[in-house]
Amino acid sequence: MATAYAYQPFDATHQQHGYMNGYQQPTYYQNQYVAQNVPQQPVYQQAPMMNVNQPIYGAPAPPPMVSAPAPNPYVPNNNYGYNNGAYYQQQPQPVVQQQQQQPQQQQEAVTGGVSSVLDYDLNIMSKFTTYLAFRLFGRSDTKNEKFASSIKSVLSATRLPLSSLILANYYLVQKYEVDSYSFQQNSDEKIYQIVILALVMSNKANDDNTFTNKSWSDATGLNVKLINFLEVQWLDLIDWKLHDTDMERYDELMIQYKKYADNYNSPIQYHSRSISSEPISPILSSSGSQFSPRDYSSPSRFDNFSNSNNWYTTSSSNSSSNYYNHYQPRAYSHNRSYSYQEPEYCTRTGSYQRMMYCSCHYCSTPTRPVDWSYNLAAAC
Amino acid sequence: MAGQASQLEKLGEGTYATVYKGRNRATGTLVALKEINLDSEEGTPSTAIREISLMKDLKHNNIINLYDVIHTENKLTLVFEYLDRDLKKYMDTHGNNGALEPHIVKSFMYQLLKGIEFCHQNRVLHRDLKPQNLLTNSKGELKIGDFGLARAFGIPVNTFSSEVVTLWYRAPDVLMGSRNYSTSIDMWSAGCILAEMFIGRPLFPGGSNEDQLMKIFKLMGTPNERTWPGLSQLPNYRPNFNMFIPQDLRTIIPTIDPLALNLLNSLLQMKPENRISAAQALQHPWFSEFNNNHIGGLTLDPISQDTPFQQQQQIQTQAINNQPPPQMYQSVPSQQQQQQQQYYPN
Repeated sequence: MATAYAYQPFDATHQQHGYMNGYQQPTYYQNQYVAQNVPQQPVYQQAPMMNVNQPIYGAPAPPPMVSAPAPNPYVPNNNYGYNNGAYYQQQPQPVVQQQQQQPQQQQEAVTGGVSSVLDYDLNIMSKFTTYLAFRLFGRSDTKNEKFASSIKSVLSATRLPLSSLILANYYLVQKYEVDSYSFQQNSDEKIYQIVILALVMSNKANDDNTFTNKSWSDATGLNVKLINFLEVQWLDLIDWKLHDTDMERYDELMIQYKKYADNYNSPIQYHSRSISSEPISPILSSSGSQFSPRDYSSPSRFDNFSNSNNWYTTSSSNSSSNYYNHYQPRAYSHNRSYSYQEPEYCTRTGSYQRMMYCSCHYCSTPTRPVDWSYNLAAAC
Repeated sequence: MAGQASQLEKLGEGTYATVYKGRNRATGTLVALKEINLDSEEGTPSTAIREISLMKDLKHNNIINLYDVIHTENKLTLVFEYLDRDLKKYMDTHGNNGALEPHIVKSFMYQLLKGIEFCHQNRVLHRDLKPQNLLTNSKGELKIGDFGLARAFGIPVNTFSSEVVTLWYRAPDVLMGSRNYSTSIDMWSAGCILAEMFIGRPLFPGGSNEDQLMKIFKLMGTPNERTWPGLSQLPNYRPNFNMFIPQDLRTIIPTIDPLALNLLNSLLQMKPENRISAAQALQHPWFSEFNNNHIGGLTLDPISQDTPFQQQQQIQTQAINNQPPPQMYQSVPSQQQQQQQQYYPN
């Protein structure tokens, strides 16, 4: 089914094109001295993400990355820029680069990362980030364990505060709105690059302790030149407006994360029914969103693609998810079941009760636990 | 230098940037070029990212205008509007041993507060207000510059750095290690700047964190749980601080107008919650002549771009030339006018 993804052939040519326009000719930066008159054109709007093997950002082409000397973290044996945190383990801990006048915090940062106490669960956050990114990139395997664990290793190395991580997700959505074209390239490494870059930018914009791109490179395995390049590209794309945050939408993302975390913590995750029937929408419904229409409601078209993708099929361990992705309730019908968890103590009846759940289409957004000694109708 | 700007002399060198005077080749306007060398390991410095990102949103008469950003492979150049000198230099050259005339202090302070108010309205903390970061020109305008340490506070964060603001202008709560400061941090700095304009030298020139606190305590009194509830919870609190009783600021600034003294005291409140906000400070009676659209009996034209400073200069000129003010400005003499006259004996 790979033929369905016609963007792939034109990927190469367009990349060339965009790359040349954007970066090989620094003339773009000239002549625009008084910028108020000249709106900054996001040159890359038509250009998908840069190919890793292409030279980066300079007229006399540097040697291709593939032939770069010995430890080139970006081209590992498995073709992915990350390897379940392997890079993170091999590399030294990133060193927090402090802003001026902050000598005394430097030491605590070397061991820690940005914050010593985390206000979120690394596991859940990495899965949420994976989930949101994969939705934006139109991938159906939103519970991709491998991807989530590589994100987790980056998060645990950098220890960004919750607000920065939500902001990173905000930037992802923001980029999607401006440049949805680049989201058509949804290989794992491309998604990984974009997610990491969102983290780099939110760290620089939101945290008082910031990492250098070299540290990010150490923590993520991405080449530092690539990070630099993508950073410049992204900043230009959004015209440097990193603080133009729409708080309503930021809050909405925060709520989505909280919902995701609640769902994750609730016993329903042990059910056969997977969370992937999406109680959370990646599309922010609030005002002013300019998402290009992409049909999220029928994930089956992505399934076909995913099956053609080796990486997906090997890592897909959740056998039930396919069933539920195809599951479309024809008529309204509840689907009651009991929790597999230990019975819970019910204060009202003074006995241990097994919790009952209804996982039907209506009740499961989000799934609500029900004391079954109560009237069963209460479930719905 | 790419494009249409030609580079003139060097204006200053900061920790991460060099500032040059420049000229726009097309229009001939002077500009300030802040050049940041890009380090291949660091990527785009976060200070630059913040400065650009924040200043693109902050367009105000009392905030330096960022015209353009020129991003090349190894250099990032920010193009700012050009102002002649910073407040520090202005005080050194125009002041009487650094001290400025009260009416100039008032005009500068009003403009500073206007700029701060705009920042805070737009959810930006400057976090490095000091005379060196305030720029003035011959028109008497004052604009806030250097947003390298600034940050947005719209997004709730629990990891504010307490290593912000140049020591002398750093608020006591920050010196005590508070990490959940807010807009009040800038208001303390504004208070220090106000005092400095009157006396011509820094109000609290501390040598270290500890020394800075002591200098503040000596003048403003050592705070305690009663005057500042929650004080003992702050990381750098010690129960054995030397006890000082609050001094009258007039011992340091003998000639200060009582209204100005009142504003200064409101700004230099130890407890951050008690500190006056920029919006409140602008409504302070000391500034009544700017707020009531009257300057000593003269009506201000709200559309006019003239700053209060310029208009005051006009008054002065009129007074010197002994000419009657133009008809449109004629108005009933008020108490303010009498007050005005004590600044303008001539």
